[in-house]
Amino acid sequence: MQLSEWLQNPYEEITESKVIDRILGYKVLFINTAAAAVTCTFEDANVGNFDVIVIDATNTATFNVNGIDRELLAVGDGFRIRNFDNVNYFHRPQLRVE
Amino acid sequence: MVDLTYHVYKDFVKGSYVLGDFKPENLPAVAGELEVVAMPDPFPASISTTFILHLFTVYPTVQDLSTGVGKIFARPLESPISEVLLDTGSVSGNELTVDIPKDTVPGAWNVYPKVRFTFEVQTAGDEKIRVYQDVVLTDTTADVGDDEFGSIDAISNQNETLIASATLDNRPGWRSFLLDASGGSYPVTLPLAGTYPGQRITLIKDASGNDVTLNPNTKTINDVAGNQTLTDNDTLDLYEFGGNWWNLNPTVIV
Repeated sequence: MQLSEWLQNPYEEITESKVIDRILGYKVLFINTAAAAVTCTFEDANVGNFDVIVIDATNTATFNVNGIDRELLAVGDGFRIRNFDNVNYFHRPQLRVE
Repeated sequence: MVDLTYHVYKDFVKGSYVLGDFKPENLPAVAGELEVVAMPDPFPASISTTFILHLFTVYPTVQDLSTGVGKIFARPLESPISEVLLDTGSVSGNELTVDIPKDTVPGAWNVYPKVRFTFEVQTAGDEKIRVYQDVVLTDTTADVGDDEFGSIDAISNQNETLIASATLDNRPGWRSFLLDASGGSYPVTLPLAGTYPGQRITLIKDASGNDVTLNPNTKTINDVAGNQTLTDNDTLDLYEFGGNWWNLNPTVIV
């Protein structure tokens, strides 16, 4: 993989519960609950900018953002977190495909 | 590929100039073409690179090099080693193209402070111009395969308006397309997923009253096969992963 590709395609497949590491920049998280329920915790106010999408909804995906739980139950469910001045904001898209 | 644009502010005459001595505000805008005015520094010996050099006399007049002969040389500074011809290059129109296959420049030269790369063009009138840049040479013990320098085009966002049927190509990064259907409905086909996981395509349909049909190119979107129809002001945010496409549906409302 070229550096340019890596720079523009930061992504991670999440298959088990974890605390999301703080990042600089942006990353896409593909949530795969085929094997087990997944809980992702964004515990730091300056965790970074993420797009989160469920790609397998066999089990429940739970996201804890600043202490508040949100569940994603269907393929395509997701949300965005954008960080401004060390505060995370949710941003939601508009059109569903299901 | 690294595209070098070198500006000669004097007449195009015999002489030597330092690559990278330029005025950014005078860079010519060539659609779709990246202009870098200096070599990467440090420069890895173990990566293949293609350089394209343009020479300008008086901006924006580009120098016709079609009758010239181009070469690229290198030599380590503060060393007893003489200048080495790396490539004879090729000249076409106003471009000098030279290739430096990986490991052409001896990696062992990294013991010297810098390596001077000199681009030379000799015109039919026997005028010779040499531009050079001194860069730090790095050498890695690991073979980096056939990797090349990526163009900054590959990591810059692309925003494009579509007005008719199109099949999008694969490329890394994020792109957004405004689907202008004011001239009538048309289909758009996604790239064949499987090449660039993480590739992201945002589609925004205009408010013209005509629909745009999105063809997932034999793949699925959120496990759904078949075409999707975008009506006025619809948007899709598509991500490639696992050989298919995923749309970020609205879910969490805050």
